Amino acid sequence: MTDPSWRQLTLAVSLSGVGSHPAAGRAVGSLAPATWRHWTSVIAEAERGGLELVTLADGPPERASGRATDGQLNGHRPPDPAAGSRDAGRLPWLDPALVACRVAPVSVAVGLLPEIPTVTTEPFLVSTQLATLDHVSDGRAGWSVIVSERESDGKYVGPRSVPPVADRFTEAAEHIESVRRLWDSWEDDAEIRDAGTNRFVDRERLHHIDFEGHWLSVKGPSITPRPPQGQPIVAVTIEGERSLRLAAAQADLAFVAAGPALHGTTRRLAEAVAAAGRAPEQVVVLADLGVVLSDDDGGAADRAAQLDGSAPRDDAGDPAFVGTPAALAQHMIEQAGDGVQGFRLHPAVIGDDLPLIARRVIPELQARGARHPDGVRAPSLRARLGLGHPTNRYAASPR
Amino acid sequence: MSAPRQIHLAAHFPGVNNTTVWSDPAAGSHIDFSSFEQLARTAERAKFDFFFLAEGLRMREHAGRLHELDVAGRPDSLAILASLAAVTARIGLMATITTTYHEPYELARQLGTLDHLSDGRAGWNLVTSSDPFTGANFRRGGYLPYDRRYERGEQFVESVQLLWDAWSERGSRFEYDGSQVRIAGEFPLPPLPQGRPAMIQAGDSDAGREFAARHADGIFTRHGRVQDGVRFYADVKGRLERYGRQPHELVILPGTTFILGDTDAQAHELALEVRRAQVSGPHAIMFLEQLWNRDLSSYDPDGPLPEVDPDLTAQVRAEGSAQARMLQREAVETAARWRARAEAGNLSIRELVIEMTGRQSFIGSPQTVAEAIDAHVQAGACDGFILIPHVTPGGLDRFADEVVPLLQERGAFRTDYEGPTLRDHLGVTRPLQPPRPQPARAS
Repeated sequence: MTDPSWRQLTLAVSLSGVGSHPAAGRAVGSLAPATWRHWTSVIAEAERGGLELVTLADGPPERASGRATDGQLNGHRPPDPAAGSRDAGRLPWLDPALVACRVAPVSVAVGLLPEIPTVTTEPFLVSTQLATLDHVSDGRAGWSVIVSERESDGKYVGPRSVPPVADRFTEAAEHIESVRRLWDSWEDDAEIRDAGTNRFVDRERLHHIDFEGHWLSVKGPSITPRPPQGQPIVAVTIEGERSLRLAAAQADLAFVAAGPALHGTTRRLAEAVAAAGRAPEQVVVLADLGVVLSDDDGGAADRAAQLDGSAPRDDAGDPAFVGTPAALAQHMIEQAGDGVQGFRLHPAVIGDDLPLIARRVIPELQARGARHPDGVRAPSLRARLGLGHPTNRYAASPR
Repeated sequence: MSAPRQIHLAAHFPGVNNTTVWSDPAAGSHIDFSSFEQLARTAERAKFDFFFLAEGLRMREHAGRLHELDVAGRPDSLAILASLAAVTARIGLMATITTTYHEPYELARQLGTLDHLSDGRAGWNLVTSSDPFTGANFRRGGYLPYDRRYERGEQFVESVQLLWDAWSERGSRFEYDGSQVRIAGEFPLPPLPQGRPAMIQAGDSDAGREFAARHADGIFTRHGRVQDGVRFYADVKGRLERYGRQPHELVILPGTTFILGDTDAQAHELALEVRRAQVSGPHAIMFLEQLWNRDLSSYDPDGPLPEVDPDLTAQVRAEGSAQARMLQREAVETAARWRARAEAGNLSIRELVIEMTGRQSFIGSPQTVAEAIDAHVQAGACDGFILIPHVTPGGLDRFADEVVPLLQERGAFRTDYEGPTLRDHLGVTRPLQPPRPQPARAS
């Protein structure tokens, strides 16, 4: 293998409502995302293409990125004054971790990374929920970490108080550390079922984690045995210096916006990873790219114009690719490498763009030698991303 | 003759305690999804109302050390139920969830999500807890005093219901302002298939019963015997009227164990065998330590009971054990009674513990067990049972195959589901009430 980091270009898709474009909701205009049928058909499409993983959004992008103002609250898009009814464009947002659990038994290969916030959640519950997803999916679970910077988050958990906005990333680091320790709190062989001593577990292989942070503390051990992957994938989206430092210290997977700054950010991340005492190959980087696809260039441009005309994108600075599947494949091959292992694509309208990614883009990548022609089978999501089975921090020397 | 009262049955996944016999050759995994799937499918094949998971948010400890003897390790309940929604089609999916260490917005969204993902099969067994031992795993620690747990519980239920009712043409904003729950924002789920997921409740205190009468669709109770059951049933159903509710709107379901054999005699033999497997020598010593509150590890489980009295001064040894807390209340008297019983019957420690603790509720041939279950319901002791098999995951097979058909023959149990939702199965469909007025803020 010459350069495995782009010979096998890793491909992920962000599943956010009915699509990443604000007009997607109007294009589809329904309560479909509140049904299991919607999600099983979307996941079937992702599996058809052989995608490595999908992330499942917790709310509209402005929430996920923490860029929302307080006028835009949890859970759905803010009402659009241009629309005839306040209800137009409003989408349901199911709990993404449970959606992942719902689709796990009816999928076999795709990694499932629900977005879960740190500020409003309990590390203990996040840990057991993701460990359970990992058990149910046979090692395909991950966590797309959301560190919200909105003042209003505290209103969802009152009277508990939440950290001030300036400290949210510090708290997130403590949250993730607690979750990771809980995953290790059962050694892989803690369940012994030893009839001779009547013991089901060996307490020497179970560990209190005794995490004592500034913002939270957790005793442990977990109630859930160690997940099959040992450590499910922890993914952090890099949007600034603090998220970059968090990713360098805690992430297995980092999402970095595609565009002119991609490789600069990736280099700075690599430096921060080294400064955190970790090996560069411990953090996989995928570039975030919005896509509007069509079989011909004109069709894609028309779709993009129509979507933008219907509802302008929130952040015109977000990179988006408009064009054909073949051109997208070529574009990704040119941009990958140099520390970027692949892409997370954000389909503008999932119903339109995901089938093109699965059925057209991936064959184009395979034809160019950037994806294995038969797809790659691996025992876990970690393995598919090229990450090893992690050593348990609490395990004594090998028995 | 009028039609017999209809029995409700539910399946409890075997618990993280010594009721579950892991040493049985048929005992499978307690964490693999296949075990949950198999038991849920068996219960669905038998037309049970729901599949049930208990909650425990801290690993049990005994004398300051993690407990080793019993089955340990469990998944996140709502996560497993969401996965089970993919491999079942009709059975209700119910989890125990404490209002103390969960947050109402998150739980309303998760239960609402489960209800959507299962087309109306989500259920919630509400418990209130107050337990710093468990609290050590959570942000707020043991923040809630015992006597305020129902204050939190009430506000939790009211706020969760407010959220489930929040989505309308005009938006989905909510605001709830209480002493224990103070939340505001927007709720992202459209109306749930059940309107509100079915909710049962497990508290037995006066406050618990009143809470159930006001809010719950069912009660998970310990009162398994006919006489206790009839009293409890009458008491709780009698409380419904003051909330404008009908007796059938609250289903009373004791948790119950069972042992089936080809004959009654064989079942009783098997029951004793299971009891021996449930109470090993180390188990018997540990059980005694819960009452004596002393280190009894030097005692022989096959020998006589300790001469010393329970230690009432030391800290409780069995952290997180409700059983231990109950035993502690009358420790010296109970110990004296046990000693007398052991001397009278010439019983060893282990033999005594086998006799004193949890004999199975129903033991017999399928015919005997079917008759006994039906008799309880027809006598007004309960509306049915939550069955707790002692082996994972096949412990319900024989009941489903041999007892259920007999109940069906008696006309006391459904031969197929009549509606799609858990509320339909429980028979507790009722028109949604408008959101309740919010309580005055505590001073």
